[in-house]
Amino acid sequence: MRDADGVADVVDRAKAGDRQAFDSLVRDFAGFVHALARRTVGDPDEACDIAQEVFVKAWLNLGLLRESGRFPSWLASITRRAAIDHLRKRIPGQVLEGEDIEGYGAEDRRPDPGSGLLETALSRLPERDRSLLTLVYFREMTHAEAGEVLGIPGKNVRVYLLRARRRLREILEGRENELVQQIC
Amino acid sequence: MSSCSRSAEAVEYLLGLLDPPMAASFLEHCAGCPECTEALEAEKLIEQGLAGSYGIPGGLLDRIDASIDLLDKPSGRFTIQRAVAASGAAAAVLFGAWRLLASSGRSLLAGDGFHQVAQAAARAMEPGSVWIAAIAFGIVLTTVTMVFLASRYGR
Repeated sequence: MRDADGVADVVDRAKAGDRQAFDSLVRDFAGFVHALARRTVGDPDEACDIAQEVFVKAWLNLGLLRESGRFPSWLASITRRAAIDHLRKRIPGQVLEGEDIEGYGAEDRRPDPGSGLLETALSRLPERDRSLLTLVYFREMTHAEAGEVLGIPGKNVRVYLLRARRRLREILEGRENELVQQIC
Repeated sequence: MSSCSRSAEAVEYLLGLLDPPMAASFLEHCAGCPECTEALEAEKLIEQGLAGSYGIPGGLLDRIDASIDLLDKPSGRFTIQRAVAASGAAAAVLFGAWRLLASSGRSLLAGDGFHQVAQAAARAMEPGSVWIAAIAFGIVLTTVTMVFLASRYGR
């Protein structure tokens, strides 16, 4: 993974219209964007559509990003908004707002048949917990960055994280051996 | 479910939520408590799994690349913009030439019927309507060019 200065440097070049620099950002962040979208909407194919949409938006609006070093959290915010828009479209006639989206869990989501035990367990968490865990562990964002993406005050991120981890642990209780086989 | 009440501290320890004395105390406790050791290992395993890479789905990078290429395709948009300007300028030049030659009694295409038609048209028109005709001619020529280019470049 490129460090923050490295990312900022590439973002600066992409802002100046360097397409190769932007392609390099796409290669670095496509997995993360897809993972975040997939964990939000639960469907890998739909996550691909979202990822495509996100990078198009990023290319068009890169000039609006003032601090190049904040590209990862900026991109994550775009991804989360795009994924939530897809969730909204998926349920005709139902308006998902604030708490509804945060609590949008497995019972409302399409199953993802290719996912393992951990992904299945994650899918049973509320949307904000899934996103938080993805930002902090998958992308290794700082708590402040993750809080910024999710609209949580930085000092409270640990508490949200603790709650998400406890919920996840409860779901996985008694299935440690299975988890070891899948992860190790 | 672990029967040790301290096993819940495993995740707090990993998140750095325990102050140093509490963290040290928990680790000391783990040394003699298999359940807490197991809980700590399970939490570490979950962290490892959460950090694990999905990998990029096949074809995704190409899809993104293609959609950005479409946005970046300057030739289509730029050609249409240039075509508008060029065809407008061409219309103005052609019309000006026609007016000059018609007023001097000469034809753009010597010896054909165009000269007679042009002179008849010029005589029939009032000075104001000549310019209206010029603008209309320019609009028609520009529109035809744009329709042709739009169908060719698809934008």
